[in-house]
Amino acid sequence: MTGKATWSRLLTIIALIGVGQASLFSYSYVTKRNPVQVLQNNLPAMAAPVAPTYLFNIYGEWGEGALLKPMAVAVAGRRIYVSDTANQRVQVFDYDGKPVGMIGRPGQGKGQFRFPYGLAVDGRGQVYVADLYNGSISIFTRDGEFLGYFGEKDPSEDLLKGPAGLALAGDRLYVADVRKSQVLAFSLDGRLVRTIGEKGSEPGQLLSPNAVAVSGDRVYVVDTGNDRVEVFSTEGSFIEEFNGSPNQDESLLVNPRGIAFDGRGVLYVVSNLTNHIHGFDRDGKPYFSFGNAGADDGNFYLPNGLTVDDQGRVYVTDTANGRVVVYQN
Amino acid sequence: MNNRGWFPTFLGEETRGEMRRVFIILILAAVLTLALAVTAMAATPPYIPADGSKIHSNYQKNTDACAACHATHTGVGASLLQWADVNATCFACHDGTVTTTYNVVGGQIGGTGAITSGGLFGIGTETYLSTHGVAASLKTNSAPGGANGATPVADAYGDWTIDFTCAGCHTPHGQGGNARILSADPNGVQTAKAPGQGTNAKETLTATDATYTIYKASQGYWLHGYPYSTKTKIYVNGVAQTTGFTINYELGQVTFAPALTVSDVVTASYVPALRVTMDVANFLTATETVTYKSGINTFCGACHTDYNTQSVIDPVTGKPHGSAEVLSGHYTSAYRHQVGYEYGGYAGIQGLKFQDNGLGVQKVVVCLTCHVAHGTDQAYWVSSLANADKKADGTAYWTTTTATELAGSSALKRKPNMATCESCHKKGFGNSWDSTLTPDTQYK
Repeated sequence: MTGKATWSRLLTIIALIGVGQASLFSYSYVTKRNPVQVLQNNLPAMAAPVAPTYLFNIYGEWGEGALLKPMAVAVAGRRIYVSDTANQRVQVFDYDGKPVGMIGRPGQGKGQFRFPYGLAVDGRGQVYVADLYNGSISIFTRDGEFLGYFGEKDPSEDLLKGPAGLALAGDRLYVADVRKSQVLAFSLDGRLVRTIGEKGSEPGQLLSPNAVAVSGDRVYVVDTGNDRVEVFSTEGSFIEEFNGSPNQDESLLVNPRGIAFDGRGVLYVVSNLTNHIHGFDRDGKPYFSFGNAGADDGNFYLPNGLTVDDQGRVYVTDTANGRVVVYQN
Repeated sequence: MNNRGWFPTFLGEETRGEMRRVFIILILAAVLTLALAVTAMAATPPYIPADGSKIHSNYQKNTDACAACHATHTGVGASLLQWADVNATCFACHDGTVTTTYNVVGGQIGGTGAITSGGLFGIGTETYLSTHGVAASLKTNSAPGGANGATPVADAYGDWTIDFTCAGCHTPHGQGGNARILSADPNGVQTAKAPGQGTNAKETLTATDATYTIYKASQGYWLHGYPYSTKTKIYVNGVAQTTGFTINYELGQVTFAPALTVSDVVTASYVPALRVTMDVANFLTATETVTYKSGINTFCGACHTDYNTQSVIDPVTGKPHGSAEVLSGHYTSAYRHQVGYEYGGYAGIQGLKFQDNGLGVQKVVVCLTCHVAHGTDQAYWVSSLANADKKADGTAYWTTTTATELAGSSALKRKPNMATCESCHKKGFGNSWDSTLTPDTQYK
């Protein structure tokens, strides 16, 4: 091999690296993702995870655009979706928290809400909105066009009675139904595949479950009425339960609401009435807590919904303060 | 017949007849005793859960659930309260997200889908929504019929400086034992009548119980659960006591140490609780029914003072206020619809609710006969009136077309517009002129 050929090959390698770096930079810039943070937040933690730090708040526009009792939040791509429940709509924000659109309006008809609650966004960008009072899940395009109802022909069907939190995992949409005290698992074409849990307070039973999260082959259900988390297999078999306390009768969770995993396997659970967010491992061993009662940055009054994105941001809806509080891992 | 029976024949017919009469009386007495016992058991407020647990009080000692409302060192309100927004705290659970309790936002009983007796507060965009203004940052002096002064002050009729929120009517832990955890001291109306500031309940006992250690009030109702001990005075033989007794507000009794003697006369001057009783059957189920038993008018009148026309007798005419002939009111003077009386035409009226008259007949007109406590909207009217005011062909009269409030706010009425009035007064034909009738016969 001549020196000229070697030099030419070296230049090619350098060029390829440059193109790769430029592509990665461009992707990160466009999607507003920090590749280092993405890696950090999607690999198993090397040390015991610590609580995230406060990043910023999302309030919506002043006046008519302000959030009022935001109950749930979902993040997909560069968009943040918030159920603006008392305004009976869903607000859409960009990744910096700037309002970019709204979905739905008050009412009981198609594309209308009475109590919009759980949110999910599928791979095509379609937005699923659960309505607790209308007893239905509506599907919208990312631009807010109503596409139809999910799982039911219309809300008069009783398959869904009180849908609250939603969780999309693989080809399943999991629905926490507070009025049925069950979790319903659907295929993405709206076919009911499985019901998980039944009404009650015994292990494996549920009272008013408000949210659900899925990790691997496990389904974690916030059992709001029993102040605990119930863990099932994706096949519906009860595995275990926890409430953050060694003594099951003395729960760390009071009126628990939102629940989600981050990319490292840390489970976050909202304790609504105590204004704390608790971090657990997948078996319910407490890692950390953050947040307190208050209106200053990083605190809440009656937090409810929670989600974590691939960059390690933790989003918490702060219902009484009318905002979404964003933390960063 | 005379040779049969349980009584020996050697006693003679007269004696056996006497024994039979005694036996029958004893049987009747036993039946009556049993009936009274059953009645007494039935009188136990059914709104207290069967397991005896107290509402909002079942927290474990080492959880921080209490911290949802109270802060030990940084409370911003009395009783160490740390609320940012009382209503938001209540609506965190009472909005349908917890189905083991009432959804007062949506007006539904738990997760059953059945509507609540008190109506709904709603999100705010419901058609013809009209609600009790708990979220409007009002003081109690804003209540129609209350102290409408620009600067609220406390007076002998209540404390008009209190924020009107859910806690204005309900006491979260159920102090006082009222139905629907209604406050025993709304608007401070009971403590305003504490000794030296107005009327107060007194009771004299000429003998204590067998041990002469416990004095228990048999009438009135202690405002137990509240820290008002300084306003309670205990007298023995007319002498105010400063030591030697302990007041138990939970039980409403006084324990003396050392014990009294049988000849001692005990007088208690204490602040009575405002008592509201209801019968709630099938608690928190789809078939739940609510019967008002007592106290509603006084309760509403704690803030809507001038509208409570049941207990005020005009000193000049001797007639009760609300008789349509007497101006009434502490703060404003007007002719007002009377409440607290038995309405003879109660039978067959649908869609309104009357209070029990104490004899098992629901015929007493109270505030909640015409109004709901929380609020109404069109959907609530259509649901609650589904079986009321049928058309001639038997079909329901109330549809979204007819349940339309022309005035905007319905003032929380059970039926839209004047339909509430018409249910009893039936003026429909009388208000349309019939040229074949004279004025005398038209309105006769």
